[in-house]
Parts: sequence; structure tokens; C-alpha cells
Amino acid sequence: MKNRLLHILLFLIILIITDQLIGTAISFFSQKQIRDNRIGLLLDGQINSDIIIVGSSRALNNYNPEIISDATGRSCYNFGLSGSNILYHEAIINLMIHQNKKPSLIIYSVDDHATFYEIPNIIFRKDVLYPFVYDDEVNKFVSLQLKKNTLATKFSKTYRENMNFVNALKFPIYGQEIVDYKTNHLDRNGANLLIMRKEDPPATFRNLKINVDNLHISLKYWASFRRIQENCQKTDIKIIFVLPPVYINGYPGFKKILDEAVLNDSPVYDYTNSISDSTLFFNGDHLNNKGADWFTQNLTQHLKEHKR
Amino acid sequence: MLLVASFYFYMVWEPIYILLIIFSILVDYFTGVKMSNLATKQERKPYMYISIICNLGNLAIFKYFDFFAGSANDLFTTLNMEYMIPLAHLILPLGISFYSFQAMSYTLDVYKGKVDAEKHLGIFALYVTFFPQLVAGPIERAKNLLTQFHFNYAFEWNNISSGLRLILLGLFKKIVIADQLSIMVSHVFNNPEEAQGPAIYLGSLFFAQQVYCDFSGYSDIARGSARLLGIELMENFKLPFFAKNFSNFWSQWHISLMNWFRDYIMFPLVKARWKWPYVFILVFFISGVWHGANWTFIIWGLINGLLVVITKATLKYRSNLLDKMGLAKFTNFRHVIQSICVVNLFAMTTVFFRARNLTDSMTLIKNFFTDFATPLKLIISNENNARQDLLYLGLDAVSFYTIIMFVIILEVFQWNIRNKTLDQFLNGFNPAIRYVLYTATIIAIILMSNVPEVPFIYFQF
Repeated sequence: MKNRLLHILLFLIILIITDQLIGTAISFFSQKQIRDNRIGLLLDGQINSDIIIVGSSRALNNYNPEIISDATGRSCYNFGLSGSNILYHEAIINLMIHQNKKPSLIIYSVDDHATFYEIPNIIFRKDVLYPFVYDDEVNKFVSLQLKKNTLATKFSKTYRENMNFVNALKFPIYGQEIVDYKTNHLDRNGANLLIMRKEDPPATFRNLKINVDNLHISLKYWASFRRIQENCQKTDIKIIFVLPPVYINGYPGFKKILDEAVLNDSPVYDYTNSISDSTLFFNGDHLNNKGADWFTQNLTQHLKEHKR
Repeated sequence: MLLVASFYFYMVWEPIYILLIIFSILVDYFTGVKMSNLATKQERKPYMYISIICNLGNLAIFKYFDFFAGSANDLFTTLNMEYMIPLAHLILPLGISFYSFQAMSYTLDVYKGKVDAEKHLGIFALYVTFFPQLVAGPIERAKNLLTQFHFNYAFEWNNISSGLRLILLGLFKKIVIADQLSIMVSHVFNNPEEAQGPAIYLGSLFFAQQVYCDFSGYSDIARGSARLLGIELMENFKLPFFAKNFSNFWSQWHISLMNWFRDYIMFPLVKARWKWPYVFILVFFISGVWHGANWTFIIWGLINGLLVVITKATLKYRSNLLDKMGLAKFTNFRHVIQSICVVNLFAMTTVFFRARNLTDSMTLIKNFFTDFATPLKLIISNENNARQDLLYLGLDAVSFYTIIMFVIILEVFQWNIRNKTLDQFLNGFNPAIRYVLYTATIIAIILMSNVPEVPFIYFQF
């Protein structure tokens, strides 16, 4: 009996050590594999910027943090992520709030109807959070999303890291993730400004008109939009909402819904149809680097009003 | 204690449906007791009928009513008749096909005089509801399971280690293989319009492997859990993919159900001088109906029945052919070839089993035969990353090959234990290697539990 119990104990010790070693290796390789390490920098406390830009690809491609820094004298960082929805933005803002050096101003780049509508290709980008599950806050989000047992993630490092397993395997096989010109070709301020290349076709006006109404609004997204504002207010973070320029017909009805959703008279700056010059666009939805510079320069006029 | 645990286990899912099981228990208990007091089969017959009608009635109402009503409504529409039977939209009670068949086997055995009626209501209720096998089998017989409840439980280390080994194997099959394959299988079967030849072939093969690992994995967990409690459940799968022909395959797949059909349908029909091909076709037709209230399952059952009949009818011819090909000397190689044929045949039939409806099945079959060469060329050239859709079935290369590696590990392992039990195999190693194997298996399970939980396929039956 004693011998058996000793065997079991020994086995458990070996299992725990193996589990920790494999979990650590997965965490290490998966972080090496990714190219966009902005969340890692945030968690390590290396992003101490005073102004943070949050949103989807329109945030990532349309705002030049350097121009904002020069104009306002305050440091600025871009946290935009292609294909991300409001639930992801809320998660990122919450992560910032949990950091000791939280920003004083958040520029929330609003995504027209996708802000409140559930659209298939605009999602909660949990995959971007996976490599950072070593952080308890990130782990909590991810476990909730994947319906993982949070308690078990505290005991087993391999279990906590298991969604990174395949990416970790990719690092020794393929090396670091390939640079994608549109999504992870980041500058030192986190932005991905799109310089027109020879192979990129010129932007053309998209005759797209989507009527936005209350009927199709996701209550989950609406609540998230409200929570973001409430959390910012609680933690003394100023938040402003910006609708960047687009080269499409537009979204009738959206501005009215947005105004209803905004609390405490937070400012909303609408640049939706402010540019008609096609050479400033990369495509109908995104500006190119010249357009981004022009737009950011214009936005800084408003930002100067928001003192620290 | 076990009875309370079993009731609780079932009620966690949907408390109200416990009443259905209680009804089944009471009917079968009292008919069993009544029959035990009667000397002749003739006298016992009415009670047997009461039990059968009540059990099949439950199934008819809760599992098949909407299917029959829907099919009748379709017929009325075709005949331009305005009559419509309203659908009941009842939730299918978990494990109803399993416990109903187990309860019926008891009354049939008491009727035939093969077992004595159980006088203790609690023990009989435990026989019907024993939680490890309540929702997805194995469908036990009174002779094996009921008698074990009369013995006192004695703690045995061997039962614990042996039970844990089985549970570990079951979890490996379910989490590491079945749940991972389900992503690729869904990529094909949930998008039949876009699916092309090679993807359909691979999707069917993977589904065959998925359903095996899912169901046999559950059976292993059930047997392992029961063994921890000192109860021995019957083996439900005997490495069916290593069967040498399609007929053998069905004697090694879902054994408890096939034995049920053999004892209560096949033998009586053979006694009644039915010709054997008709008997097999009928049994597999019933097997299809048992699996689900859908035409896809019925056609799947009929095709399997037909394949078994053809297999049996051509046994000698095929054996001679293999001998003439010179494979008689290479027994292992011959066995591998036979297994490949069996797996492919079974995989082919899953186009009906897995498809969401008959239209999807037909679309998949049509697409499979439309153009196989072009997608095959695309796989080779990998033009526009075609492999991701056609070969990796929606995954990336690393994920795909990782899963394939685990499938190969499982197959090699199963090949090595084909002539022994899991315990015999593992006890052949020294303890250090055994612990390495356990650790590797547990780590693989933890690693691969990185996809959303997939319910056991046979829970829906």
C-alpha cells in the first residue's frame, strides 16, 4: 500500500514537472512566432503612452500616432487591430485600465454599423490574445471565451497554453509569422500606415449604402459600448469617438444611433465623408499613408482641446 | 448509493425526463415479477407484450413521432391532400434508445426463461439506470449486469488501475482524435455545395475515424468508470477497423447493439425460416431506424445490410482472389489490405450517416463524382493555397499533420494490442516506461483539449 502511494506521488510529481515544462515551452515559442507583440509590450509595462488609439483596421491604418504626438506634445500609441469587434476593444481597454500607467485619453475609432451589428468577419480576435495567456487577466478573457475551466488553467500550465500549441510548433518549422503588409507591418507606434505599392489598384468609390436601424443592433455590443464608457469614466480616462473617412456612400441612420449610445456628452467627431480625393484612399474603407497623415493632422485640432 | 448517483446523473441533463425512465423501470419490473410467477411462455406472453409496447411506445412518441408525422405530411403534400399532422417538437430524451433496449432485453430474457426476474426494485432500477452506460451504452444484459449488483463491492487496486487505464484511453480517443477530426469533418459535411472530390473522400474517412473514436472512447470511459466501482461491462468495440471483411466489421462494432439484434431479431427470424439475406437487410434497416429518425440513417442502414450480404455471398471468391494474387504468404500485409478495404467501405456509407439531410448526401455524392482530377492537381500544385481547403480541410498544415500524427499513433497502438487486452499490453512494460506512456497520454489530452467541446455523437440516439 505504502509502495503504491509512493509510486502515485512520484508519478504526480513527474506529471506536474512535465506539464510546467511543456507549458513554458509553448508559451515561449508562441510568443516568438507572432509578429504583432503590442499586447506583450502593454503587459510588460513598456507602453506608457498618454493617448491610445483603439479600434479595428480603420484605427490601425488611418491614424498616425507620430503626428498626434508632435501636435499635442503627448505620447501616442495605436492599438487598432484588423477584424476586431467592440468586445475585443473592451478587453484591450480593460487590460490598459489594469496597468499602472493607464492613458489619459482614448481615441475610439468607430466602425460604422459594425460597431453595433454582429458581422461575420469582424470578431472578437481572441487568437491575438492567446500568446499572452500567461497574464491572469488575459487568461480570464480567453478562458471565458473558450469555455475553459479557469481553475484548471491555474494548476496546469499546458492546459492554460494549449491553444498556442500549433503556433508554438510553427516557430521551429517556419520561423516567425510572415509579414502581412496590411495587418502586421507595424511601425514603432503600433500603426500600420498603408503606402501604395505598384501592385495595389487605385481606390475607387464604392456605391455602398447600408441603412442602420435599431432592429439589428446586438444588445451584447451595445452593452459593451456602454461599459467601455463607464469604465473609462470610473478610472478618469477621457474617451472620444471618431468616425474616420470612408470612400463609400455611407451608413444612413448610424450617427443617430451612435449619439444615443454615447454617454456624458463625450465628443463624437464625424469625418465619414470628409475626403473626396481618391488618391488619399487605399480602398473604399481605408486611407493610405498620405490620407492618414491628412486626417490625423485634422483630428489634432480637436485633440488639442482635450488637455491632460 | 449508486442508484441515487445514477438518477442525479440523468437529472442534471433534464430532470423531467427521469419520469420516463421511472415509467420504464416500473413497467419492466412488474411485468418481470409477474412473468416469474407463471410457468409457461403462453401465460407470460401478454406481460412481455405490455413491456415491449410500453418501451417501443416511448421511443415512438419521443423519438420517431415527428419523423413519421413529417414523412406523412410530405406524402399528403405530394398527393395534394390538405391534411397535416401537427408535429410534437419534443426534446429527444438522452439515451432513450439505449435504456429502452436494455430494459426490453430483460423482459425478453425473463419471458424466455433465460434469467430470473429481479425481485428487488432498487437493484432493477440500478440495472436500467447505471450511470456509466445509461446514455450511450454498452446495452447490457441482465445476465451480466444485474447479477453483479448482488455482490458486495470489494476494493481492488487492480480494478482501479485497470479502470483508470481504460478511462485514459477513452479520453485520448475522444479529445485527441474525435474532437479534433470533427473540425475537418464539419468543413466538408456542413458545406456540401463547396466540397470537392478529394475533400469528400478525406472527410468521409475522417468521419469514420471520428465516430469510432467518439463512440468507442465513450464505451472505454464507461467501462473504466464501471470497473472503478467493481462492475464489469461488456466490450462494445473490438478494433473494428482491423476486421478482415465487412461482415466481421459489424461483429466488432457496437457489439452490444448487434448482439441485441442477433438474439432478439435475427435468431427468431432464422428459426421462422427466413432467408438469411432478408434477415440481414431487415436487421440493418432496423439498425438504421434505431440510430435516428431520419431517412439518411435508414438508407445508411440498408446500404450496410446490402454490403454485409454481398460480403457473405462473395467470401470464398474474394479469398481465392487474394490467394491467387500471392498474398497468402504475407498474412500481415493481407490483413492490412483487407482492413483498408473495410475502412473505405464503411467511410463510404458515412456520407449518409453524417450528412445533415438526404439532399446534402446527394450533393456530396454528385460532387464526388463530378471532377476528382482537377482538385487533385490543385492539391499537388497548391495553387492559391488550395491544400488548405482540399487536403487540410480548413486547417493549416501544422494542425493537420499534428492530428494525423495522433491518428497514426492510435492505429499503431491498436495494431499492437489487437491480440491482447489493454492491461496485458501495458503490464508487458517495466513501470518506468508505463509511467512515461501515462504521462505522454495525459499531456496529449491536455494539449489537444484546445477546441470547443464536442458532444458525444451517440448522445443524440
